[in-house]
Amino acid sequence: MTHRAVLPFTVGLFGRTRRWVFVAVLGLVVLGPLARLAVLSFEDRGAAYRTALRTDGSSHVLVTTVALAVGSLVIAMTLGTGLAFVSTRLSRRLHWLAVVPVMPIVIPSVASVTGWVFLYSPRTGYGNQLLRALPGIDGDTGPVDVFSVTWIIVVTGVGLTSFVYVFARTGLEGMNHELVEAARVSGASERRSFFDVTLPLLRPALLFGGGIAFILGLGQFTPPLLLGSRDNVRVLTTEMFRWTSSVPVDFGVAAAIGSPLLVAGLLAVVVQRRLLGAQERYVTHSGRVVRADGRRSWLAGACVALYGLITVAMPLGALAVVALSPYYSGDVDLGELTLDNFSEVWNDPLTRGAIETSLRSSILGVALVLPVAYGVASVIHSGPERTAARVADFVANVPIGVPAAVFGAAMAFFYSRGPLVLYGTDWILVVAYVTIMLPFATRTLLTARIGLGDHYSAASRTSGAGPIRTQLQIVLPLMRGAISAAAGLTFVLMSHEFAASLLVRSRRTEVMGTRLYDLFEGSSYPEAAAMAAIMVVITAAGLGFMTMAGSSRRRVIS
Amino acid sequence: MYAPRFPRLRLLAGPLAAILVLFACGDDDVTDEASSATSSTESEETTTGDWDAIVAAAEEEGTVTLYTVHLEPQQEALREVFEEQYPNIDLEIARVITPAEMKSALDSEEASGAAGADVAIVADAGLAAEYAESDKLLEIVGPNRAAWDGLDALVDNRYFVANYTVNGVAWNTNHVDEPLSSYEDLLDPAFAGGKIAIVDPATAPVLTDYWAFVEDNTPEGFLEDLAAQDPVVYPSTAPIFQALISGEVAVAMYSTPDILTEKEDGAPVDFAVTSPTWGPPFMTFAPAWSEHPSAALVLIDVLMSEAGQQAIASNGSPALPGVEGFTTIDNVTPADPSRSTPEHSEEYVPRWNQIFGR
Repeated sequence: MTHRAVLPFTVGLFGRTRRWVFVAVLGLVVLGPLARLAVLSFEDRGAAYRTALRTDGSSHVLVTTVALAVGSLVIAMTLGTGLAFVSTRLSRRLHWLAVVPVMPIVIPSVASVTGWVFLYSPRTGYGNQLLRALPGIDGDTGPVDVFSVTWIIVVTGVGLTSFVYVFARTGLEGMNHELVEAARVSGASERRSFFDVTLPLLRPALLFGGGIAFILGLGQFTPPLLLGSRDNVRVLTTEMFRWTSSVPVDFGVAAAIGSPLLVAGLLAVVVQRRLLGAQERYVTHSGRVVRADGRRSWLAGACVALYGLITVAMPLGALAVVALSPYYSGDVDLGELTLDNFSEVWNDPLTRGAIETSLRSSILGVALVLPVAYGVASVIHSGPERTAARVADFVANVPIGVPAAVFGAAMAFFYSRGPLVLYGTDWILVVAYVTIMLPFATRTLLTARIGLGDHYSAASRTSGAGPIRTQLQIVLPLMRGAISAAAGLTFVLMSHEFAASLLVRSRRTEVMGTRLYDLFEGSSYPEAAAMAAIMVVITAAGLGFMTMAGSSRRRVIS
Repeated sequence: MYAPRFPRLRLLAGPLAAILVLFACGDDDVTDEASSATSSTESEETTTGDWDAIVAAAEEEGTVTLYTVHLEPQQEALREVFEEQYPNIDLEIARVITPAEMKSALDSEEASGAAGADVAIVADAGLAAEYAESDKLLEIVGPNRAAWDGLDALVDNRYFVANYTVNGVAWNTNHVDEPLSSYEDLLDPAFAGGKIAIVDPATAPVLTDYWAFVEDNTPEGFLEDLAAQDPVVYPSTAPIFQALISGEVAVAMYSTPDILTEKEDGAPVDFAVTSPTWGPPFMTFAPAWSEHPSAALVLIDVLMSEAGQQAIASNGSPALPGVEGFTTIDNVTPADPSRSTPEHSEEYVPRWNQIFGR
């Protein structure tokens, strides 16, 4: 009999009844708004679906959405896998570059997309001007048109590359490289061993990462919203937003439009659960793993650095230049650079309010999501074969599959009517943030909890400590690093969350992302750039916290 | 004797309480004076004593929130006038660009009871009329209303035209040497290939009237000729201004005198009023569910005053005759309310999209 069977991890934390009560409340919070929205779409004999289908260009919207998902997936898979492979060849001195491909995840997407606008506006974008200076590129416009479907797909694909990279790199690190070595010894070239051995071995990780990227691509909101209005590029999420913010406001039609995303998201979570199988598969480190011993190459460093330059440094640099300019002119005059835009934005009561609301909601969101995620992790770890654990696992993963824009619409509708009216208060943001970040926090804590094993808690119980005391004095301190990391990660993601925030906000509950969007759409680009820069700085502060948490975690584990 | 089982949990109480206090700081104030001030508006004639009571209640409320389509220069000019007269009331202003956004925000606030707009200014007569018909607007009272009696701009004492915006063409002086003066100037072959910024009529119903106005005042086939120039479509004036200032486009067919503020700051732009010029009315009202109804009435009174009119009409024409703005009402063709409806938009936009290949 295992320790877990004798001394269940969750005894005292959740008995059978409490476990089910916890799962039921979790289900209500996560699935309740989605279910209400789905029901709404079927009211009046499906009138909302008829309206959605009759809307001008509805089939084109669907095609564009799928094209965006597929196109960005291809880009993300190619770049993500390539970068992951290349990153294993980084020299020891350049090993820090391995973090570069992850950075697009942590840079606020709304800020990053704004940076792409300043770089690749067809005529005045700084990047386009540089490209036109190259031999063979003529004309006074392009070659990149960031507002076109093609480039919206590219910008989206770059954002999703980070996700594929994370999965591919994790797969590479956990892969047994004996087979690759065997292929090389048998005379296979490096290229052939990569395609014939490494890639097939990575298939599970790539399938999983690709699946996530595809679902995220289907639900993309920020790039098509900010870049698509000029060329009338519309996707399902932006159409949902339009129906919840246009006359007449019709959440039913928005729900009907979002239903393919909802179904695809839920299916993705089910498939993901099946593919993952036993939770032990999360344990990636094994004594049997033979590490890759590929050649270290300066070219690997150059590739990763170039990627970072194009996707991170240049958009941020463009933001900084515009933020420091009196107006966005496409030219850079160092003598005219000014801090006026920062001063203007910082002294604007709406912006200050948005920053405060973001921080307040994010701090409270972190304070709530950690215990909830800990509870979910506890339920799952206590017995993954139990029905309650399976349900909790499914519910906690739904926000990965269902786009934030769909959650935003669902919550805006659900919480602006009785019985629980949260619209117009910060609480609706908090609930949205906790829901959307639940999978990230749960996964971080669950991985740490599984890695910790049951030996310490078993020893504690054997020594006479009760289950709660064991939790508080043994398990929690040992998981301190993971908890800090989860706190840092969720804080960063919450503080720059945009899609759901835009749909649930009221004019009195602006957050940084929505304020940036308003400045971008309704004020001046330099002020929008200054706001974006402020967001990046706040995110960097959150990242700093996360890094410290990571260091702390390593200390605890060692 | 009872001993707490989980003494360490108490350690969490402090931080949790701090977070909740921090959170509570962000909650909106709710005043009890709202209902009494609302009832005070029900009288037909407001005496000086009544008005003094409303002002006192407004100061007690302490805050008034304005959702407006006005750009920042007008917002700041209004703030200056308001705060000079009522230093004890904070004026909070949020820019809400489209009637759709305005309706979405107001309806959500009404449904949820959440704090939001006390006064709204929107470029859509239909929205104000819809609320007025449903008896969802506060009655306008206040000493400055008297000057509006008998004017078409004041409707049923429930909503009024704050001002009309003046419309015209603008250009980037780095790319255009000769000043423009009419829509036909845009058909110059030099502006072909993505150099003209135009506004999307789908943004707001009133913009379908703008395009109908353009068709009424240009030779037949103008839209088709304009479409052949391959113009760039933007949703509203703000992105058009940014594109024009940056040089992304050379000329803007849809512009307001607000662009001249950028010119004063050194941006290479200029502006000319077209003749005739089209002007959308900025309809103003106070929703009945306003959290600060007295302060809302006070703000509306300021908007109706000569100083308020001057403040918000620096880019157009005041609705109150005799008040100086960028121009006067005589030079403006006000937007046609019958062509500024969602129904007209539903009919017009697909045709427009077809012409412009969208």
